[in-house]
Amino acid sequence: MNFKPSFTCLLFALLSFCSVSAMAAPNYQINVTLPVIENGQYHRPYVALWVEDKQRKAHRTLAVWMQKDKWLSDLKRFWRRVARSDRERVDAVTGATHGPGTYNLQWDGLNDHGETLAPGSYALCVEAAREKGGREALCVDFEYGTAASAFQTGEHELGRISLLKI
Amino acid sequence: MSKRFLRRVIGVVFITLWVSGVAHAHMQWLRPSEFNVALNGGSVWIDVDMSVAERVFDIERPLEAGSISITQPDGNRTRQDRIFTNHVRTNFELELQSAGTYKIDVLNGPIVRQRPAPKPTPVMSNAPANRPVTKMVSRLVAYVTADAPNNKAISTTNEWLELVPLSHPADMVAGEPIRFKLLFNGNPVLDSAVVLMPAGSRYSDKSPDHAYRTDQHGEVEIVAGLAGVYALKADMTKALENDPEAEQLRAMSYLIFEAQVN
Repeated sequence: MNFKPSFTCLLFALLSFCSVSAMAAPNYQINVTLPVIENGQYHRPYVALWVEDKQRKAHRTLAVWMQKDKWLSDLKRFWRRVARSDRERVDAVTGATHGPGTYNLQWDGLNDHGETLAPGSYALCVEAAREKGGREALCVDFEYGTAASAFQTGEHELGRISLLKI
Repeated sequence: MSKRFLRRVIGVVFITLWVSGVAHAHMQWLRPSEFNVALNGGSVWIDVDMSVAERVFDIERPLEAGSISITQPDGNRTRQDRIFTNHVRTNFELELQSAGTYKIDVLNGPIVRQRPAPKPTPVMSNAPANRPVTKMVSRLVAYVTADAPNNKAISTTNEWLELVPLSHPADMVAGEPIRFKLLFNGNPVLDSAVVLMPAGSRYSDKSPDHAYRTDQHGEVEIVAGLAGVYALKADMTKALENDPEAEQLRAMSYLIFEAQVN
């Protein structure tokens, strides 16, 4: 007699579990600070942001702030990881360059194909390169889904880079 | 100071210079102006310099290159023409028209170096008068990648001494392990010295060269500490039996690569 309600209950529990796991991608707020540089000529930097795993495979290209193609390969690490073999990926997230300041981005926690990442260690990488200026790449390690926040501070071309789970 | 004494001093100086010149063989090298380029929808010209000098990447005298072949990203080999032999350097330009990895392969020799005529040198008993007649062959290789790398040009000829990259040349990064394999006529060369030579050694008091040895598979793992251009050199001397021309073979192989900034 009481078989039926418990089955319904089980089904409901299963469904709700499934829907929870489908929505499980954690959301992140990313802050990137580009420092004021007064040494020499200043051109606004080309900047790339991406998420890679411990094997340095890129899973999500979040943003590329650039102007002319010619200087894209100056983002040397980003060029090796993503741009040299997947130009469409770059074009899909290209935006205008920015001067000094703190910029805020949201990451939905998904990879380039809209899927949740496998649990584990990843890094948010940011690289900046300026025409007639320097280059700096910085990766902030984090545990996908668990860590609340992580940050790193650059030395010359990058300021504070932070990742906050929201 | 007697004339006779002066003559003797000059004689000793001359012999010393001559012997040391022989002992420190000159270095052959080639160097592309770019190792990794972006095509940006067009084509890109690069320059390739070659010279022979006391130190790698110094320019002293032109390299009389035997044959220069370019392997295109699709695997096809083309012969390079329009080679300019200048006073101190040989060079040519190369147009990269399609994406992928190119191989620049320069083979010099084999040439037979005859035994030098015996000279009356009582001062220097180890003068090279009794050197065996030597067959010399050297190979210089560099890989250049436009846009995304591929593997079709990373080939072996299975002729003479060859340094083959196991790590892709477009992914060689400062501070990260880079692997090579040493082959002689296509067979791995075990427990053999290879020397890593960075560019710019003229600006350091200590030699920046670093010697490694191949393992039991003929493989070697190196680490280029700083980003820059490097030459990896392997050198092998072996006795030749039943060779009508020479008593021994000296085979050299240079692989020139760029360790990129991380």
